[in-house]
Amino acid sequence: MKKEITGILLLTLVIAPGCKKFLDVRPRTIVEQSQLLNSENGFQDAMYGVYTVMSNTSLYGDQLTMSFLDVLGQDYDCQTNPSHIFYQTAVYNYTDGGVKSRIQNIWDSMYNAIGNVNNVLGNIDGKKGVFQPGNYELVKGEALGLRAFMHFDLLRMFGGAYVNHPTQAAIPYVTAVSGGVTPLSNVTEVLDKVIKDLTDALPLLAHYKTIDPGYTQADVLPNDWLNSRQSHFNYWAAEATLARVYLYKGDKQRALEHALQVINSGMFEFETSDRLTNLNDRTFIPEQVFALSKFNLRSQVTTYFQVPAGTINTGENLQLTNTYGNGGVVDQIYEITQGGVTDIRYAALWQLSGNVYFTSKYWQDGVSSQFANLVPLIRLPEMYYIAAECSDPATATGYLNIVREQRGLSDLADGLDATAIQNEILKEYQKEFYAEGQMFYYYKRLNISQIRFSNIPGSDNIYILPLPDNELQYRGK
Amino acid sequence: MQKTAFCRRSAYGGNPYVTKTLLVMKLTIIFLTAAFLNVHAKGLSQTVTFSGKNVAIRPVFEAVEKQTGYFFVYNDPLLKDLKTVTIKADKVPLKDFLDMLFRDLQLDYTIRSKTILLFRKTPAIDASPANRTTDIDEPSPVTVLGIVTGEDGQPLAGATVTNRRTKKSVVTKSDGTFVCSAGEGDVLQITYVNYHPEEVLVKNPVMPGRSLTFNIVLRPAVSNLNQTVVNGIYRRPVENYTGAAQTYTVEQLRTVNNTNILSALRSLDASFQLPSDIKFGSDPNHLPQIQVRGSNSIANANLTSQYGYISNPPLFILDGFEVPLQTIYDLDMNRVSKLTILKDAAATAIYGSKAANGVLVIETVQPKKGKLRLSYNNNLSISAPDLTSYHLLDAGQKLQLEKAAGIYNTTPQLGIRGKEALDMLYNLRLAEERRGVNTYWLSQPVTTEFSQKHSVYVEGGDDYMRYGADLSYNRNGGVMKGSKRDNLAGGIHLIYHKDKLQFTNYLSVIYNNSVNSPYGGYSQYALLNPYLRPRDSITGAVPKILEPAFYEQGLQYSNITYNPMYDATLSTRNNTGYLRVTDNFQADWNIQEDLKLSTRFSMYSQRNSGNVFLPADAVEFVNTPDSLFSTRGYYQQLTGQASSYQADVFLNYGKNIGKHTLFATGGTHIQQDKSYDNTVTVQGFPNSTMDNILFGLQYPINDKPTGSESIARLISYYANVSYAYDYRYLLDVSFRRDGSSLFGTDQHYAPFWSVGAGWNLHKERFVHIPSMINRLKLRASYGSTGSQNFPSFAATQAYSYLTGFRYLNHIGATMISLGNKDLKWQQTNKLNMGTDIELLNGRIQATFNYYIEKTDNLFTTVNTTPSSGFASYYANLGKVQNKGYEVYLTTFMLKNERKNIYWSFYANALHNENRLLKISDALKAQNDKAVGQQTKTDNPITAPVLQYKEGQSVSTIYAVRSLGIDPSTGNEIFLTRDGKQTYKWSPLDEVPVGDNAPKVTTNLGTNVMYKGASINVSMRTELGGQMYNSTLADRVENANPYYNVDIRVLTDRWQKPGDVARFKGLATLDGQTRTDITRATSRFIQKNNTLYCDAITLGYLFPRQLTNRWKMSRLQCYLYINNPFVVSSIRQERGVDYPFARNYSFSMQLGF
Repeated sequence: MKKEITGILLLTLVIAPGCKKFLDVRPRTIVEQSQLLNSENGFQDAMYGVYTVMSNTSLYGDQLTMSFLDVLGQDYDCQTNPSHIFYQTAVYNYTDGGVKSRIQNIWDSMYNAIGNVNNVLGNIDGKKGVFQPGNYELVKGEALGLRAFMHFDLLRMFGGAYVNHPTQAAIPYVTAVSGGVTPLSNVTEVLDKVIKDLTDALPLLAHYKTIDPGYTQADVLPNDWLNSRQSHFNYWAAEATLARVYLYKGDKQRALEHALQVINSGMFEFETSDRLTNLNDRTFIPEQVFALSKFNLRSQVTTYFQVPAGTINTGENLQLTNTYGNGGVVDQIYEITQGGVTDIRYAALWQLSGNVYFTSKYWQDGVSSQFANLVPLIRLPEMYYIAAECSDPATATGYLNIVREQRGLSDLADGLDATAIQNEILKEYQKEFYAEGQMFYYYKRLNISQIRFSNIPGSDNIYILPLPDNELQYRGK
Repeated sequence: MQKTAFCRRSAYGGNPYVTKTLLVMKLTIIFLTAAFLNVHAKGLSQTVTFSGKNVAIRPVFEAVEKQTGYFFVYNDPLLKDLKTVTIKADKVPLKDFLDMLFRDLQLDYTIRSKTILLFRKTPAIDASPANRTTDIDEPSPVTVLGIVTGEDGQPLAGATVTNRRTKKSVVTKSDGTFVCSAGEGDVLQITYVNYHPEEVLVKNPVMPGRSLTFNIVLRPAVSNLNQTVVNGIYRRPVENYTGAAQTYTVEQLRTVNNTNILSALRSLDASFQLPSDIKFGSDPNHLPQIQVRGSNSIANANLTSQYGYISNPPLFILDGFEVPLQTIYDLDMNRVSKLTILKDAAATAIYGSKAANGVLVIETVQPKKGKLRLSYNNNLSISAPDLTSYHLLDAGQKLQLEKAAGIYNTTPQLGIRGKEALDMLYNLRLAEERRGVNTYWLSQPVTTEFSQKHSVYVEGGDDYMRYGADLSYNRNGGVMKGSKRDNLAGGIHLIYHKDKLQFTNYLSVIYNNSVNSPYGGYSQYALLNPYLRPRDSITGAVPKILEPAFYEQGLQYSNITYNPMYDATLSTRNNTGYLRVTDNFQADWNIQEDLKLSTRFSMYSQRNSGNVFLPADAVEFVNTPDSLFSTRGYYQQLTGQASSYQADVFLNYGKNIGKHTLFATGGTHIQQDKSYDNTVTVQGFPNSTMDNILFGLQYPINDKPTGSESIARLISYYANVSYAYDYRYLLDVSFRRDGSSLFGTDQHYAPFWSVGAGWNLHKERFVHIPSMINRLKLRASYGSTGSQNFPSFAATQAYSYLTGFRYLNHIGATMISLGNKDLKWQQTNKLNMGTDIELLNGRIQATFNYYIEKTDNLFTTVNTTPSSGFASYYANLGKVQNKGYEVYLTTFMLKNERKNIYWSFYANALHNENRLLKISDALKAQNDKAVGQQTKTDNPITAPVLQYKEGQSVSTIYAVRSLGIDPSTGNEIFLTRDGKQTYKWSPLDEVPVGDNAPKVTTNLGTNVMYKGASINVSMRTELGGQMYNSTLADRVENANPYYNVDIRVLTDRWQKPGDVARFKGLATLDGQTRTDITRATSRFIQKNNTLYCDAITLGYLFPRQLTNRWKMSRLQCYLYINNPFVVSSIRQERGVDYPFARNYSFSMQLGF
């Protein structure tokens, strides 16, 4: 009898130790952090997660590029149609429920992406050993860079402009994952933190500076992290963002330095009209310093920029367009009466769908797959514009002419004064960054009181988006 | 002829086993008994004082009974012809007194627990068996065969048979038999846990080589041994149990409800609550909400729900295995034999992390041996909708209201042109009313529904093999037309036992098909205007449009009204179903008489399916433009699978050593639950007969299959030790360590424990207990249990793959939530003190429990600044306490077994007080948010919102105090927080004005039985709670006059200055239509005292003579009237999505 009992006890002892492994089970789509952030692939998956969130429709996949921000920048004619889904946005009614929820989504998603970046940053240093050479630096550099990039855009939306509100409380600069409340930093503090993160990112990203803008399938590197660099926050993206940030901060000298870094990098070249016509490369891939890859971009294109097949035009309350032809707004923007007809951005990027002209920048039709889905966030011409803004009028004219020539426009007249140059820069932003979400930032950075095509004067009421109710509520004011 | 015989130690004088031939042997037995008794006698401290000369024996007995609390048990003839006695005793110990008393009488006695058994004295013989062995040589051994059974004839496995002389022992096999060798004059002692030891003498002369057979019946050591508390892992005698548990037999359940176990239980036990859900009424396809005692957790998400506190279902254990609520809901009641609700820590701690909300243990019937028996049960029922809570306007009243509310008043812009048009509209409607159109819309989608249930059970077998097979079909029709729940179930039960082993297997299959009504939500019918026709009066066709939009000169004056009944005329589909196969296997090995090893294993696999089909013609698609014709109509198909396996290995030990009784159980449990489901939607179904997903045109644009996938594992170790000294002092200790995959790698395990103590006061000798008290037990327990309402990622940082997206051909992963590493298991510490009392031989039984349950580390989501990356995270938020008492009372007013008349009455009551002891700052912020939501103008919230405040209960209702309607203006006067009067409503003035949870819930019932006929009435009350009458708020005051509304709109509203009215006016003082919204006000807080009559049951058991003639073993019929009436202090519409129903059913049980 004793033997039997002993046997049972032994059996229990045998079963028991296997339990830990038995309990380490999860639904397939859920991975514990300690397991995920334990390998290079895991860190990369977490970073791809950040890029995915950034490219979703609340952020750069829609609201912060082609729709919401450009409606604020008056790229589209939404203010004359009260039924349009962006009507309240176009008239800057930030108390409207619909606009509020858009703003809330932007805020929530952006900080969610930041939270994910912070989690990578908080864990990566302890796991340096799991990376193949160089990748630790690149992943960490990208994470730091993205944190700065996103906070900078949040500042440009929710903070006061540096020109007139350098010390106004703006947004929380979040650097750690926690349920606690991060205090608001003022505009200058945010900018300094952005600059610090970017500066820290530069030496890390310098481990691999090569960009292969051609997206050729031929030279796919075995270290996958080094492929498709313009869809990662790369070295040049950090440089370009620094140029943006310094310009925003009014530090023109540093802005120029960093802009020239990109211009002279040799990694980027201007789009040619051959590429444009032959490859339908409407997002100008060779110029892209940083571009997100938006999965299933087509659905937005269909809603915003096309008339459904087989119909004349339904859904005008959803479509983002502007009057084209007969001296309409688009014609004014591209100055077709002053030779703008030859501008490839006018000639090739405005297309007819149904009976309506749309910007065809994001059209996927006839585009080979490696060009599909790209949403540019930083492109080469902006560096020339920054350089121009930071230079004396004569040099500035030179920079602007480089872009103009590439776009099929004649050179600017010599002897333009600073104001005229600034006006030319404004016009270039408008022509160049249609549906890329840059116009609003431009107006705000300079605190311009006259927003083109809007009769509402530019002011803090327009330029500073209100913090979402949730944020204020749980912040405890 | 040589005779061999055995003698059973006689218990009662009239024992048939005792024959004259055995008289000689008796002496031996008495000797042995005396020796055995010595052990007992030691503890006797009771004394007797009695003096009498030539008194009859009976008064002496009475005196002894009175003084000692001991009972005499004897056969009447025994006391015949006894001479009188003369005795004088002063504080003589009981035993000495008895010895003295019986010295000269032909009587002897033995004492067992508190009973003095009397039997006839046998002539004294010098020789004792012990002496004899010295006289006689070693007797030649014979083989002795025997069987040991309990009083009910069931074999007792594992009893020890010891030959006193040789000290050798054997253990009875699972069929109760044993084989040993013994010689003449040997004494065999038979011992078994919890039974009185018995001794038999192998009688001289014994023929060597011959075998003896005899049957030994053991009597339980404790009178109510048969009553055990079963918790799914082990069973303990009620006598020894220190926990709070309530057991119900299927017969008790059946007196209330024959089809639904959960409803039946609610009617019987006040602490088992199904908070009545006004929303889902009597929907057969809606699983009820359950809570046992109070609420140990708080609502996570939806603060605007009125019932934030009810999601506390207990753990369901069916035949030892955890099952989901759905299984219990669909379980055929005929399979149930017993049901136990475990409540306090001592009872539930053995279930550790899942036990905080109590445990419901269900045992099913086990096949009995014997020749094949068949029983058949059926239940036929009729359900009728109960619409008595609705009081709607008829067509004439409705038009009157519309006129009064200003619907037909023109505006200055429209002027006379508008007036003409609106008059025309009014006249059109009036004409319909005059034509006699007065549709009672509430009755349109409902019907009187017929349900039926049949179940057949076959059982039989022999000592080695027993079998049972069940088959049942249940069609449960709902009162909403077209809704029903069909179950078809079957199972095969096999039990095999041989020697020390027993194997049991139960294999069952259940098929379920639940069909939802095509008529949609019920509340929309309450909104429809009575002057509209549901059907064309000539063709009888159901129109799609009840009333077209009214246009006049290009201007629209009224909206189009669609007919919600139209979809029901199409071939739509809305059903779910499942097919589940379950196998339970158990093997028991009686290692020793007192040690048993059991292993059991259960697995089930369930396939779920669901279909929702709506063709293009459905009302939903009328506004879909022709260009999108291919999106009209859709078919959603759900497929899913759930599977689970559970295994247990445990040892049971139980032994009586003198006065010590020890039970111990220890084991380990392992479990895995897995499930997944996915739903595919296809669009474009122009033809309603093409109702297969294959005939769809396309997938919705950018759509993909949706679904979920989950896996959870659990490993536990548990142990329980229960010790009793002399059945007087009881101690019960349980421990469980649970490891769950739901928790982070670092904290898989959590311990749970309990300690219980009890005192059987009625067995105590030093206190005088009146003889009318048969049982008086005091018990107390304390321990901790947990709840597993934890999402797997709450405690650790976890990532989820974004499977719906790609980034550069990679799938990214993002954090699911802010993992809170400091998160602790939600623990409920339970203190329970109680007593069980039995009076007058069980005529009155009462149980009283007082409990305090404190849940620490209350677990909920906390909202945070979205800039942290997430809107909320999981955190421990404080403490909630439930304190209360339960009283159970059962009495038999009449109990005449000879005349077969019984009248019993039961009542039980639960008083529970819930209080939030501590809440975190984060939760306070949540309150502010909830309050903030009330001021929203779009889609306003008119009911109070959930708020959590320290010192209040989780179900406290917060509203602004109201002084009623100002007779001069028709406006409501409010009191601000600091007691000032104001017309302005502000959420900041909200104070506690009531509590949704009733103060006391009681259950009452009575059962009268006379010669097979029985009547049972069971009722239930909820007293002392409050409720926000949302009918008054939404259907009277915020009523939209464009829809049909409660009749009080017309009768009770303020109309002109001076009116003392309960409700605001339809129009303001200056005649404008009132547009202000009535929000949470104390004016609509009403006392909720409700009496539910759950069932009136008539039953008849046919007499045996008749059934025998019909070749049946049993025939019983029942007539049930379920939910015949509800009496409530609150007049509110009941049944939002589904109406309530009354149910009449007839049930028949046949046995062959």
